[in-house]
Amino acid sequence: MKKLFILLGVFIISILTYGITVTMVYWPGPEAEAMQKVVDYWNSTEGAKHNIEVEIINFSRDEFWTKEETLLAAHSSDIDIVFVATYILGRYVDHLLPLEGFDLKSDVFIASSLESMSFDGLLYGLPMDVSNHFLYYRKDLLNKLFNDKKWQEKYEELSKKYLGKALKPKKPEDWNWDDYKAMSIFFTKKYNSDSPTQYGNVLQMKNLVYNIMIWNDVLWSMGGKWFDQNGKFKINTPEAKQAALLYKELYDLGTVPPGAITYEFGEANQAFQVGSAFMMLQWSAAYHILTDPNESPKVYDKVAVAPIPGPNHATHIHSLGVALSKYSKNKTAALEFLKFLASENTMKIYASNGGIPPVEPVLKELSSKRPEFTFIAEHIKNYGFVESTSEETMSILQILSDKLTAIWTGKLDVDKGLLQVQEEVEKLLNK
Amino acid sequence: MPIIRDKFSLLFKKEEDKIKRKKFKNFFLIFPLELFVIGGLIFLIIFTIYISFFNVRFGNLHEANFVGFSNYINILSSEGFWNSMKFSLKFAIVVTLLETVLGFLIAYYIFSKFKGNKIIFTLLLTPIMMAPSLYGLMNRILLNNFVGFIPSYINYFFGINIDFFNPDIVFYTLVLIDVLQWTPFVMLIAYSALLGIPKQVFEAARIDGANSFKILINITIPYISSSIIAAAILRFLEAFRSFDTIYVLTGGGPGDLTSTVSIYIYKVGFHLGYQGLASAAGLILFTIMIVITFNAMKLIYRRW
Repeated sequence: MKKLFILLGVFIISILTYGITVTMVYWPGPEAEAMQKVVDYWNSTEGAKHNIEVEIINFSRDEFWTKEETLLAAHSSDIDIVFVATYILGRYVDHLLPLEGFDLKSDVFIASSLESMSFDGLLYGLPMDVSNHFLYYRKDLLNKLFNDKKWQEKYEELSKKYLGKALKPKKPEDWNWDDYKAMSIFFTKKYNSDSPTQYGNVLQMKNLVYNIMIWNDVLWSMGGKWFDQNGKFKINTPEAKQAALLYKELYDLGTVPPGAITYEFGEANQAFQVGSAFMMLQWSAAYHILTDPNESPKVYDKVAVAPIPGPNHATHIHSLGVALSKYSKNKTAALEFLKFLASENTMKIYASNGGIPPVEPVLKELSSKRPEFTFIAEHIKNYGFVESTSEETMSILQILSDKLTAIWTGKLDVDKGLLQVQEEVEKLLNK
Repeated sequence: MPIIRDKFSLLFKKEEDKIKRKKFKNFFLIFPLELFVIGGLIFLIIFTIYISFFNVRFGNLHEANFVGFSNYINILSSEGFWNSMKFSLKFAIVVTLLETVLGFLIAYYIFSKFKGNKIIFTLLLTPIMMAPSLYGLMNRILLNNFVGFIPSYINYFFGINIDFFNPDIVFYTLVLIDVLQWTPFVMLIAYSALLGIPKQVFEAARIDGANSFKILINITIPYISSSIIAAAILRFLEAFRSFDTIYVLTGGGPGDLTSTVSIYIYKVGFHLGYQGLASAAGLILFTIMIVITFNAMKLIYRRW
């Protein structure tokens, strides 16, 4: 009987101490697919050694931050490792543990990406992916424009008629916004019956904060910003008005599909993939999809990228990463996994499976398999900007989204709309 | 005689005791669930009222300050709130009218021609079995002008290029999507009500020489009117606070063009982080719903 009790006790203890499961939240898409491969590798190697198993839970991308924030606000210990982004870090910071003081070799990451995961000088997250925007366009059609005299004449004629000046086609790297408008009009069937595409461009105009991050490229490229030199929020500026009116003009001209008011990442890709649009401003993550012969059979070998047009090329950048929840009951185990992530080898696995880690040697090494890595590194270095990392970043983006989408579709006057944004954000920041 | 009276009294008392014990047993069995549901609801309402008097942001209750009725004043003076109320009201009235009429007509048709046909009935109920957000996603793809088959078939057969999410017609698109999903709900209630009409009433009417139309107007509709009104009220309340489908399709945009009051409250609470303000707005909406429901129940009981 005594032996039985001892055996039972050993059995219970072994069950309790057998292994620790570290739960990590991610969002579905190329990032989660890449991380799953890293997690599988960890679970079969280092994780097996340490008896630590990592499990990914994917929340849907729709309202992802709301769901995650709800769990953190409830002080839930269900998640050990939290998915974070530059624009949400300020809001989450009270729920996270800084990674300072732990034995993490974070210098494997590009310095600016570490800054984008820091708040008040402390590092809170490890950057796993860096996101920026490109101008994607059909290089086959642009080449034809450069070589076809009739097309060039038509291009000049349309630009003179609708923009008041006869423009000549240029390389996308040299475009300003007039060139962008001229290309949009030329490649829209409504204005040019010979256009092989129905629409010159696709804009993501759905009332969604991520679409405003793309619009910010236009604002920054025109010399605008969110905050003035004194750090005061200032949006009712000539640059912001010009940037807002650009979208409105393109929409009113009919160079974008009318349904663009409901478009986000997926719909914009679809318009481009089926060959209905000549160009679009889109996230760097789309490159992988648009150049895949299985996913984009019509256009995979016809896609090229260029910097966002404008007097000053500019691209929003943010990092997506992982951070440690203050409420985790498996902090030691979670940190072991985070240490594993902060290595060049692990980031190479991540990048080989679809991730875009801000680790320079990895980006350079894999550029032959992932040509967009070269563009990403170059664009981030030369044109990248971060709007803000404050806790109000998402709120400001939402206010902009509510007003700008109304301005773009003519439901709100641009001056009144920008003034409303100014007032609402001032009220927000003064609270 | 007294012995018989006593015996009956004894039997009667025994029956009474049996009923009392049964009632006590029933109460005891459902009490925990009632406590859980009502207790939870009361706790939520009280907590929401409490939060609505504080400037709570991002769930930080301990850092919030008491602001009295400021949140209520801010909401009631907010253009965004009233725009969303107007949209919710317009949307709810239109879809309720359409769904009530269509739901009744379909139910009557099934009742007349296919009474007892389980297959047809089940197929017609399929839309309401789908989660509203999933239904919204499905429509987002179906109505996409590049990959959706509905615009492409319309273009193929009629040569019309229709963009269902054009700001000028997006309201009607949302109405159509709601009608397609929720008309079967009204149909279900109407059909059940039709099944409850005694056959003898119809037979008597026919014997008296009434034709189908007169039977419909003078017997069928009055007989099931309470059920139809109840269905209409339920649909109105649900449509007024519609969220999932519209949010997935348009995000409440462009601007706040398609923003229902639920979407407005959600954005205020979760996107802007003003939980105190959102609680106040939620309570205002709750009060409006209670008033509508109370008056509607009075109307139903009167007709009943």
